[in-house]
Amino acid sequence: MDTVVKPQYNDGVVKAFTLAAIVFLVLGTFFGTYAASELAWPFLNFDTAEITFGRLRVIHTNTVIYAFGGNVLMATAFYIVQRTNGRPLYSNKLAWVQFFAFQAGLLLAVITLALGMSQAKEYHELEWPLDIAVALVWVLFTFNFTMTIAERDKQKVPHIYVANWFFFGLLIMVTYLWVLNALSVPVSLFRSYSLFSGVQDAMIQWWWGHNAVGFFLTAGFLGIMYYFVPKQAQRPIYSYRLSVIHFWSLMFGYVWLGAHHLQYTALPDWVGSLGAVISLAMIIPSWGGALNGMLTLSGAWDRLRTDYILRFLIMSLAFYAMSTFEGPVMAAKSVNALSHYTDWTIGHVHSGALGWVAMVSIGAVYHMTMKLWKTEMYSMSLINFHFWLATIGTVFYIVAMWVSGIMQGLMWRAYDDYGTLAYTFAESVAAMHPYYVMRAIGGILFTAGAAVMLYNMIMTIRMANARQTQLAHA
Amino acid sequence: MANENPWPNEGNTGHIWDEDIRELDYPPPLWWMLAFYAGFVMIVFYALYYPTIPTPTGNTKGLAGWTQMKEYHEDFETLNKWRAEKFAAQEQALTEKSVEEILADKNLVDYAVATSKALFGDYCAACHGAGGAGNVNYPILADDDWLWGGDVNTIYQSLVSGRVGNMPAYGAMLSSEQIGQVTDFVIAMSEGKADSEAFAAGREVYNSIGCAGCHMPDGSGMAALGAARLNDKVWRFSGERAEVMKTIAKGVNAIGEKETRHAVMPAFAERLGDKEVKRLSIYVHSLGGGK
Ligand code: HEC
Ligand code: HEC
Ligand code: HEM
Repeated sequence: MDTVVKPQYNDGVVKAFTLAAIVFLVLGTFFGTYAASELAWPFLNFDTAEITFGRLRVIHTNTVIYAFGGNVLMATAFYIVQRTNGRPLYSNKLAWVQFFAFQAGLLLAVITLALGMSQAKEYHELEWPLDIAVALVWVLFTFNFTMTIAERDKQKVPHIYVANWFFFGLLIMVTYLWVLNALSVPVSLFRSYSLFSGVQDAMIQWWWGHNAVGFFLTAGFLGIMYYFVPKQAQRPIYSYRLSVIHFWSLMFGYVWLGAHHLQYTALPDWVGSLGAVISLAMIIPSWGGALNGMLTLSGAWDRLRTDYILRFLIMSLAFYAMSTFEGPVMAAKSVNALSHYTDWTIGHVHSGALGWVAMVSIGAVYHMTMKLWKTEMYSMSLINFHFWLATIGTVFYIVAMWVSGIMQGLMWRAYDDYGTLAYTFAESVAAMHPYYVMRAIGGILFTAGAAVMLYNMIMTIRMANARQTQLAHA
Repeated sequence: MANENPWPNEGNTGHIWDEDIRELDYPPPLWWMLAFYAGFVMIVFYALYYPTIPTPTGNTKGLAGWTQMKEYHEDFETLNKWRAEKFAAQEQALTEKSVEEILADKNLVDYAVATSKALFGDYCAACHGAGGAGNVNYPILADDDWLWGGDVNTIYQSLVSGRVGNMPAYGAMLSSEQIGQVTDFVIAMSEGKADSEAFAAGREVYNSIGCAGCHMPDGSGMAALGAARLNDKVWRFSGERAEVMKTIAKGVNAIGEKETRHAVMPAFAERLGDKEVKRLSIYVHSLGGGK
C-alpha cells in the first residue's frame, strides 16, 4: 500500500463548504433558539415584522436544513467521492461555482424570507426566482458528483462504495421532487401561485416535504455515516448485504410516506392508510442502517471512552434509531390523532435534526478538519465539552416537547362534566410556558456547543497555517 | 485500492476503498431479517383491515369498515349521548326558549354560564380578552358601559348579526385647529369639566358639525347607532389626545378613508348556531354589566 502514490484531491473547495457548514450551524441554531425564546417570552419579537416568530421560524428551518445541512452534504459528498473513487473532482471549477452560487442563494434566501416573501410551502418557501436558482445549483452538484464517479479508473475501483449510492439517491430524488413541488405560476418577481390547488396541492407538498426529511436529511447523512464511521472506528462495515437491503428499501419506501402528514384531513382515507402502513414498515429498514453502523463498532466499543469524535457518530446512530421508531409510531392512526398539530411533532423532528443530522455531521466535520488541514485538533477536551453540550441540549429539547406535546393533545380533547371542552386553546398555550422555557435552555446549550466547535475549528486552522509558514521558512 | 487484500482473514468482500474501507460479508442479523419480512406481512394485513388500495371505482373498504368520517361521527355520537342523558332538559330549554326567558330561570343561567367557558375562550377572547376584559381597540364586555346596549336581547342581536359602528372622518371637514379644539372638549367631557369656558370653541364645533347628533349634546352617546358614550371615563379606543384626534380625523369604519379605524364585530348566527349564540349571550350578560 505504501508504494501507491496518493491521488491529488481538490480539497480547497471541500474546506470552504466545511467551514460554511459550521458557520451556518451556529447561525441556524441561534435563529432556532431565538424563535424558541420568542415562544417562551413573546416580547422578544419587539414588534418587528422581520423577526416575528412566523418569519424567524422559516429563516431557521431554511438555514439549518439548506445552509447547514446543504453545506455539510456538499462538503462530505465531494470529500467522499474523491477518496472512494481515487481521483479528484470531475471539475474543480464547477465545484467553486457551485460554492459561491449556493452561498449567494442562501444569503438572498435569508433576506427575502425576512421580508416575508414566501411560497408558503414548508421547506420550500423560496419564491420562484430563487427556487430556480437553487435547483440549478443542485443540478450542477449532481452533475459534478456523478461525473466524478463515472470517470473513475474502473480497473482500480471496480465497485462503487455504498456511501456514494446514498448520495446518488439523494441527488436524484431531491431534484425531481423539488421541481415537481415548485411548479407554479409567477405573477410578479416576488409572487407566484402553486400550479396545484386544494388537497392535491397539500399532497404534492407533503410528498416533497417528507422526502426533504427522508432524502435531504437522511439518505445523504447515511452516506456520511457509511464513510466516517468505519474510518473513525478503523473497522470494516459490518455487513455488505445489510447495506444493500436497507439501501433499496429506503429508496423504495420513503417516497410513499408523505400522506402520513395529512391523515384526518380532506385526503381520501385510502391514501392516508397507505402512508401510515408503509411508514410502519419503515422501522426495520431504517434500523438496518443504524445497526450496520453500530455493529461496525463491535469489538471496538472501548474506543468510545477515548475517542470523542466516535462518540458523536455513535450517539447520532442511537438518535437515528430512536426517531425512526418514533416517527412510524406517530404515523399510526390512533397515535396520529393525538400527536398531530402538537409539539410532539416538533420534538420528533429535533430528535432527528439535533440527535441524528447535526451529531453525525459534527462527527464527520471534526474528522475532516483534521484530515483536510493535516493536523490534530486544537483541543480534544473542547470536543468532549461540545459532545456533552450537544447531548444534554438535545435531551432537554426533546423531553420538553414530549411532555408539552402530549399535554397539548390531551388538553385539546378533554371534556368537563358538562360534556363541553374543558380547556380553551389559549389555556393550552399558557400551559406550554414551562416547557418552552426548557426547550429554549436546551437550544442555548446546543448553540453554545456549536459556537465552541467553530472556535475550536478556527484555532485548529490557525495552528495548521502557522505550522505551514514555519515549515516554509525552515 | 490495491488488488491484494491486506486483511485476508477477517471475512471482507475483497473490495477496498480509500486505503482501508472495507465491508464484511456477514449476513444481516437473523432477527432483523425476520422482522423485515414481518413488515411485508403486516402491510398485507393492514391493507385488508383498512381502506388502503385504490380501485377503478374508488378504493377497497377494509374489513374494519373504518372511515375517518365514521370515526368522527361515532365519537360525536358518544359525546352527544352522554350530554343528552345528563343535560337533555337544559339543552332543550336553551333551544326552545328566548334569551329573556332563559335569563329568568336561575338554574338555566347557571348552566349556560358553566358551559360557555371554552366557547367564549375559543371564539371571542382573541378580540375581547379573557373573561371579556377587553383589548386594544376591542370593547370590554365585563363592564356596564355598552356601545349598543347591555340588555340581554341587544347582546343577543350583537352576536346574531354582528355590529359595525360608523363614524364619519372629519379630517377634511374641519381644520386641524378645530380638530384640536373639539378633541380637548371631548377629553374635558370625560373628565367632567366640559362646562368650563376654556372649552367653548370645542363645544361650538361639537354642536355645529354634527357630533351631538350621534353622541348627544351631553355626550351620553346613542346605543341605536353604537355611538360611544363620551361623558364617562371609559374609552372605547383610547383617551390619549393623539388617539382621540385620530378617531375624529379618520372616523370609524368610515367609507373612503384609508386610515380609518376598523371595528367590526363579526356575525355568529350561522357560525355557531342559535343555541350557542343564546348560551353566549347569557354568559356575556353575566360578566358583570348586564342590564
Ligand atoms: C374579530 C374580533 C371580534 C370577535 C372574534 C368577537 N368580537 Fe364582539 N366585538 C368586536 C368589535 C370590534 C366590537 C365593537 C363593534 C363596534 O365598534 O360597533 C364588538 C362588539 C361586541 C358586543 C357589543 C358590545 C357593546 O358594547 O354593545 C358584544 C356583546 C360582543 N362583541 C360579543 C362578542 C362575543 C360573545 C363574541 C364571541 C362569540 C365576540 N364578540 C367575538 C370584535 C369582535
Ligand atoms: C354618525 C354618527 C357619529 C357622528 C356624527 C360622530 N360620531 Fe363619534 N362615534 C360614533 C360611533 C358609532 C362611535 C363608536 C365606534 C365604535 O366603537 O366602533 C364613535 C366613537 C367616537 C369616539 C371614541 C370614543 C372612545 O371611547 O374611544 C370619539 C372620541 C368620538 N366618536 C368623537 C366624535 C366627535 C368629536 C364627533 C364630531 C366631530 C363625532 N364623534 C361624530 C358615531 C358618530
Ligand atoms: C439549537 C437548536 C435548535 C432549536 C432551539 C430549534 C428550535 C426550533 C423551533 C422553535 C422551531 C419551531 C417549532 C414550532 O413551530 O413550534 C423549529 C422548527 C424546525 N427545526 Fe429547529 N431548532 C434547532 C435546531 C435545528 C436543526 C439543527 C435542524 C435541522 C438540521 C432543525 C430543523 C427544524 C425543522 C425541520 C423544523 C420544522 C418542524 C415542523 O414543522 O414540524 N432545527 N426549530
